[in-house]
Amino acid sequence: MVIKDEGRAARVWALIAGFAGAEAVSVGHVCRAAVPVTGTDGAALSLVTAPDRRTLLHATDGAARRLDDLQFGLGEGPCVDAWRQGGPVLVADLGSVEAMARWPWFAASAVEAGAGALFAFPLQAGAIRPGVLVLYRAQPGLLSDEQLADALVFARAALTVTLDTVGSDGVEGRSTPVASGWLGQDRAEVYQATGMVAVQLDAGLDEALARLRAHAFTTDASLAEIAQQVLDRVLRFTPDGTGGSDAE
Amino acid sequence: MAREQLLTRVFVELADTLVADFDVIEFLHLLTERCVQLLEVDQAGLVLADQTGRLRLVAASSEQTRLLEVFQLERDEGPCLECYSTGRPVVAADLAAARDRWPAFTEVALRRGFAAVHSLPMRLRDQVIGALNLFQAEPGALDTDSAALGQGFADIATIGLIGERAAREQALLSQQLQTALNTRVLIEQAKGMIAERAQISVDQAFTAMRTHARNNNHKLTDVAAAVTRGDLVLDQVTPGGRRNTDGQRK
Repeated sequence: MVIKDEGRAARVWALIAGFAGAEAVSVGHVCRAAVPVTGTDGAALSLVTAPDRRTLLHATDGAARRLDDLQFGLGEGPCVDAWRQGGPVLVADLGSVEAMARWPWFAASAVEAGAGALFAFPLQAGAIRPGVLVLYRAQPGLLSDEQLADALVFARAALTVTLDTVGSDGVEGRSTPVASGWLGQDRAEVYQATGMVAVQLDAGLDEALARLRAHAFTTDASLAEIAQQVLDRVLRFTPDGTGGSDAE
Repeated sequence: MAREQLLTRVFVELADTLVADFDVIEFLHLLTERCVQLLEVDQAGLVLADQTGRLRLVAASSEQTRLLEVFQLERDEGPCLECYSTGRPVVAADLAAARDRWPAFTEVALRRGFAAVHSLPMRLRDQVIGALNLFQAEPGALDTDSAALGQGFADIATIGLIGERAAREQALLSQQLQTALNTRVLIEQAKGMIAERAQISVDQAFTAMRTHARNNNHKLTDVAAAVTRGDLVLDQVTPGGRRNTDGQRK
């Protein structure tokens, strides 16, 4: 499952960019690129703010939409669990005794809807967890190690695109694959700085991260460099500012 | 206390922690602290591989920036990465002699006061999920007993992290690893929030959070989650990292 492959993220981004063509990257492109690579039959992506509060952003087909609808309608299922627990929930056989026991309502309905296997991946970075990516297969079966590793990177890409395109009020979003810089740079100081900026702005962590990224973009610095400036307390953000402002 | 007595005590303590519903990050943190005491090394840290095979720190005997900085470099080169790639222990008994092997890592590690490193694999069947790293301020290799004990700690960390059931099921293993990595991110975010509110360092913020968790018998993860939700403020922290109020929002 843990496969060493530094090029995986770059490869996944290139695939997504291929689907986007000249358009700005959307979650739809992420879903459509994910399906063939992970050997699944459909994908859906929803924004989730509570187990019973979600907005479907994209579904590649009717079954994917139905599977997403069912879970949030019934309030149970792998997507709901993935969002709550903060880790992927992989169900190789929705008709199995285990699946039926864990999600009695959902599992039966999902099989009826034409799904044999379902894989739910939370979009998350610590306390920032805006949604869930779900992939399904008509036939039961596990994801291979390669497919699972790719699916995790697609979930990461979906998070980046979601944060960019569904930014908080007043924060402009860019959904260019250039933003993949953040995707690969999962560094402690970036998250520490995100926490600090959230307090400076009295805003959510998602907005704080968006501001950090926007500032890195406009000043042509790396996100890690900007984060370090925040940690060193030479850069502060203000609620009304458009970017960061230097301290004193 | 004799080492054997100490070892017994640590074993019981770790086993006690491994009860149902334990906090995995707190468990791993405790484990790295005990490594330092029992193996007589200066620092210990655990890294796990993320979805792209990059190594990420999940717990360390101290949250000192100098240590975190060294781990940051391990993403690209170093004993830790080599241990993870090969699945075998890597010993650098004298880092000064390893400049050719890992130029960037060695430079920073030496500058930060580390002279020797041992990296021990966290293995699960034919997979390697991460590595336990032991840093020493003085050059020198661990003796055979200490090295074996270190590997024992790495194995306990693996089982504690993924659990007996996840060890058998690939799907659960993936879930546990991803959850642990995400929890680490959550803790970093909470550290940042506390550091800004109380105007202290992120290292002190971690201590404040951990102290609060212990004093109130809460899980570290729950405390961090409460901080990020805004339910817990922890702004009354003295620079020594001790709380002078219970830190609850008034």
